[in-house]
Amino acid sequence: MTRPAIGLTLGPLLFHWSPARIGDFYARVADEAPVERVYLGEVVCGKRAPLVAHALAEAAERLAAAGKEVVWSGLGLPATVRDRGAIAALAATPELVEVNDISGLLDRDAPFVAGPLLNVYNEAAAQELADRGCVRLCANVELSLDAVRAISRACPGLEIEILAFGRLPLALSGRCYHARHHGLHKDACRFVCERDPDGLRLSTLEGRGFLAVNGVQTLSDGVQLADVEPAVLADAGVTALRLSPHGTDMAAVARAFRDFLDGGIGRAELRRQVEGLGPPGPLVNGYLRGAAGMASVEDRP
Amino acid sequence: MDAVIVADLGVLAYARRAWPGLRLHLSVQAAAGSPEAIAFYAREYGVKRVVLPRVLSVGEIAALMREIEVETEAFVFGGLCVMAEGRCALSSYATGRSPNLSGVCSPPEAVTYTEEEGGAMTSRLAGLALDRYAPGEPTGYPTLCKGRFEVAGALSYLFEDPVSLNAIGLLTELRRAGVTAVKVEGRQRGKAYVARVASTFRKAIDLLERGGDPSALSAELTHLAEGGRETAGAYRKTWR
Repeated sequence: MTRPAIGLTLGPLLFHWSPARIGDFYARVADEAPVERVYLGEVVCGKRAPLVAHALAEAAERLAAAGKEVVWSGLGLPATVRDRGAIAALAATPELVEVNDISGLLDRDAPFVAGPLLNVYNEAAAQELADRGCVRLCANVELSLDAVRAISRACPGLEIEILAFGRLPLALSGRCYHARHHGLHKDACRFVCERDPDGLRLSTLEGRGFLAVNGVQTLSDGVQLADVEPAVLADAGVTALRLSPHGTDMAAVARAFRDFLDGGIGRAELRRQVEGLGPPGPLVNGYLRGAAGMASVEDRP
Repeated sequence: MDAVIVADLGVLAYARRAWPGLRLHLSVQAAAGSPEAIAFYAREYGVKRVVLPRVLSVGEIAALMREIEVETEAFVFGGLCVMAEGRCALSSYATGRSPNLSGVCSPPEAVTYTEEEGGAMTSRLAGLALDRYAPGEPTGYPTLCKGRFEVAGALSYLFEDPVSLNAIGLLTELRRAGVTAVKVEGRQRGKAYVARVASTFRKAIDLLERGGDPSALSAELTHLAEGGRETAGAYRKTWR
């Protein structure tokens, strides 16, 4: 049996970029990035949403005109009445949307994508969501490829994306660490997170980069690189690789992954090309191998 | 058996289907912190009680209680999770094990202490230097979110100081907010610790029922807190 080629998608922008930067970025994605699908929407902080709504709506039109499928993603941790309203509004749209908080399922009747910020750790949880209309699961970043394979075997027909490039979304808080770092209060944060387009690196006492702060979100400093052979990905049921937007040249990242998935380049060359693009932190891949996320693990030949 | 506490959607669905009479409580790891999330679990799985995340203030709990129809349970003593529980993978990023994957955070097998030149002690998790102590200074446990980190040249406990949660002084307010039960952290703790904390809170609740002020009992718990330092955490509105 031949399987369809593994697709490439672009995840929602996690960082707080200016409307102008958002416009330029998605124009370039529309024109140059070989991704089939783009997730749009503010998933980290509801305070940012009104500032970027117009730019994202324009990006959606531009991307659709370029033949990309656009999927709107919802907030990961609603903190206010307005946040809760935004999730309810998204749940009420008939189009396919990505749900990142369980509250998005309360009134959802139409099919949906289960985002990586939902807690799905086993095949029974995945099946329960599939029974509720989940057509695609973007695996939580903690899941190993073995766990992904178990889910895919138990849930035939469920599309599965894994995070293939980008800092790993590790935690959400009620508290804003960007604001705290600048001596500000979350309620009067002056949007200081905008100063760090790839997040703000946090290092250990010995100067080793460890995490990256992005408002109420904490990411890894290390940049995930899913350098897993396409045949192994396909065997695990992975139907698409998700690239997370960063300041790195994302069109070039997408081209490297497309080339890798099509067999044009191998794992070492993928790694060399991505490293050459200057990712914001060291490349890591431990989670996929069932190791610590910050590990960089070589597969045995 | 009175009830089962569950976090996982697959287990909830199974319990509802196979044991429809079973009383279900929702674990804090399910990360249900909004009226809509709680309503989803109550409606779809018949959950009767929800354990609240430690990121809500007392005022937010009171507001939440007005919008939901199930019982709630609030953590009052132990670790202070500053990240939304069930949504935090810091521990597995460093060590491979985390609350959601393995039921542990900053697991003890990953902890080491190294003595530096001059006698200072560095606490480490998975080799990462999380804090440093002067010679003779009591050392703390290296919990990831309580580490001292460097950001843009400045050292600070960015996520949270190495403190633990003690909300015994807030029992009156939590009861007024409508909280049904309070919870002390027992995981990764010794029996003597759990016995001491639980019996102190039992006394406090009994005192509260008789119209007394339980905050006077707080001193009995102080020496059990990590580093002897405590906070009421997010329950006080100043925290965010």
